[in-house]
Amino acid sequence: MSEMETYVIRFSIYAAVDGGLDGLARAIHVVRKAPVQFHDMAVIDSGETKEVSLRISGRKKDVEWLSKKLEKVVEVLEVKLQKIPTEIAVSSVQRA
Amino acid sequence: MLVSDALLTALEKEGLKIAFGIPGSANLGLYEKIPDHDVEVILMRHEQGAAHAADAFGRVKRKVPGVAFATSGPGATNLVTGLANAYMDSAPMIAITGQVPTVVMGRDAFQETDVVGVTMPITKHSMLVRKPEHVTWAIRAAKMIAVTNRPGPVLVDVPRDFWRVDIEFNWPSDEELLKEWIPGYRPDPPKPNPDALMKAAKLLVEAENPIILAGGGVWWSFATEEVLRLAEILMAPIVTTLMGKNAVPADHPLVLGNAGMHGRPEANYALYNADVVLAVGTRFSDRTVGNFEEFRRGKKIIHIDVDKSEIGKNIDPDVGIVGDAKEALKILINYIVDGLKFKRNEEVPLIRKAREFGQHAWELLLKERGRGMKPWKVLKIVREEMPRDAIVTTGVGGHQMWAALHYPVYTPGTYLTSGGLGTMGYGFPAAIGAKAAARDKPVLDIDGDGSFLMTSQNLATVKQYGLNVGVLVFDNGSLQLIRQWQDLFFSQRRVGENLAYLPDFVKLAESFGIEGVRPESYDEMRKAIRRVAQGEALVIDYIVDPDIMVLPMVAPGKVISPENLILTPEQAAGITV
Ligand SMILES: Cc1ncc(C[n+]2csc(CCOP(=O)(O)OP(=O)(O)O)c2C)c(N)n1
Ligand SMILES: [Mg+2]
Repeated sequence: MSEMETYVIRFSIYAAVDGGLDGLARAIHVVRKAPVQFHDMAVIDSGETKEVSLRISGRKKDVEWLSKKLEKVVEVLEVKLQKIPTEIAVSSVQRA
Repeated sequence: MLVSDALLTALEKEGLKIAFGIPGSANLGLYEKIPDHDVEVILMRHEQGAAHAADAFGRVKRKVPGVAFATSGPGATNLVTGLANAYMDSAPMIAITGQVPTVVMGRDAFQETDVVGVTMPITKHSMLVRKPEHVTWAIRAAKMIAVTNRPGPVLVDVPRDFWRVDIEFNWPSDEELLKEWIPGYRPDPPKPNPDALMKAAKLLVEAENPIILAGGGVWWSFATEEVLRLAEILMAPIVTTLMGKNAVPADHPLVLGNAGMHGRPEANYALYNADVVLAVGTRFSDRTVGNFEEFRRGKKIIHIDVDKSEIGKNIDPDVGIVGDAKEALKILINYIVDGLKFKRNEEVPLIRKAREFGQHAWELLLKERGRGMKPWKVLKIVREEMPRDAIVTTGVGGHQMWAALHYPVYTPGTYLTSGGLGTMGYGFPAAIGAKAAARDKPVLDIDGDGSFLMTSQNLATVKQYGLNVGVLVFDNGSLQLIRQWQDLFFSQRRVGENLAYLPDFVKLAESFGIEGVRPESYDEMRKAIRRVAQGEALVIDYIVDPDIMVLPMVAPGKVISPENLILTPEQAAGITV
């Protein structure tokens, strides 16, 4: 478990055509199959796009793979991966 | 213009002039207008068959996806297996489904299924057309997404109340489409990284025993020529995955055949013992290498793939190159020949060793065993009688593995098999789809009795449209591959594998107005195959002993190494999985 780390994956979903729900659902399908632990997710309406941030824990390799998979989702515009320092990750998980 | 006309016009403009399908209330508005357009619809007898036919059509045409039409609800759900199959093998196809009217959507209307939701994880993309004027955009996007970058299936769902809505015909340019409709999609593969390619070039040049592992991606990227040329420069062997069998000519002197769980011994020997593996357009499936960690040991791996999520997914490469295989190989060849001034004159030592190992293995493998005509001899006849560029499809099971082992593919693009999903029932409708894509070529489905029964109702389609394909049914009265696994790895408990009460396949064919024969000698078999080679529709009932195991094989989970090859049933004793 020591190699498990917490990350935030941020990505934008193009929502101008259909409101973005299909893209979001497709992205969640990808997350479901990844070998990571899901913590929480926030989606913010930003007009043409929906901005998603997803907090997960996993091995670096698996999380990076998930980011690449998300980039392949047709509605997904951009994916950014950010590692959360362990102290913050632990305290926020405990709160949640 | 009505939405139905607009959709059909969009298909015409995209060159999608053949569709396979079944009508129902949700797409009757579309069918109504088909006679006014240059689009032919072929009536299949089950939507699964329509999806497989469309998948096979796309595999043959590569840049023209096959199209499947289905109604909402059960029509749409019947496509699911076919879509998953196309997705796993990266085959381009477009499914167009009718949906319940917008006013009742989401209220469990008659024949309502959220097919966009259902197919999300098994398609490259799926979309519900939400406004009538979006229909042409959706079809344009579907075509672009299906055939570019890594190909795959796309589903377009159209509410049935749209068909008769009058819209202005709108034809977006590629730029408009990419900007306004699918800005997240990249039709062009990324440019391969030159530094990584140089590193790969050096590794290959310094290697003592390099090998090329060619996957299905070689076919999709038109990279056959580059793979062969690179092998000739390196004088290195080429082995393939099951999908890659379709990508390189088996009679090229450096091609050792397909590796993997049921691979050819010489191919598995070479792959396992190579010091540098250049893998092109493959996801390194567990069926190809068996055990990732053990396979990885003592080797340097270079992995070229168009899909960056494949690099490092199963095997961490020493050099990962994301990009189009053809383009990457061209640069690689350039670096090796012009940059490093390299050309080997003699075959790498691995080839001779692999061939020696193969020879020894084949002596054991081809010993007379079982009753009746032997699969390897029958397949030899098939190869001798079918023209070089004839198309062969397969079902899934023992017969598929026999074909993988003993039917060499000479012309790339002529071997269609369900590799990723392993879908029984694929072979026959795939043969129909392939025939529709290449009417000048003879097509033979090498099928199992179990597999054929799953989609044989499409015999009617063969007759109705003159889509003459042959079917060579391995009639062993058994789900033979299952029986083999039970005998080898599950305490010899044969449960649920006995296909009792099979139809008489000759009579079954005849009941559809198609001839059937049951050859009783190799000579009669040859005559029957020759009829298929000459373009006849024919069902050949090949009675085969279910107790002839398909060997060699490697037990699941074990690394695909020479030591782990099971060459005789006795060798399997005591292996646990
Ligand atoms: C749709 C589907 N169901 C089940 C399986 C599992 N399965 C793999 S091979 C096989 C036996 C296939 O029997 P048959 O088509 O008669 O081929 P044989 O092995 O006898 O040559 C089965 C049931 C599968 N691959 N696909
Ligand atoms: Mg069988």
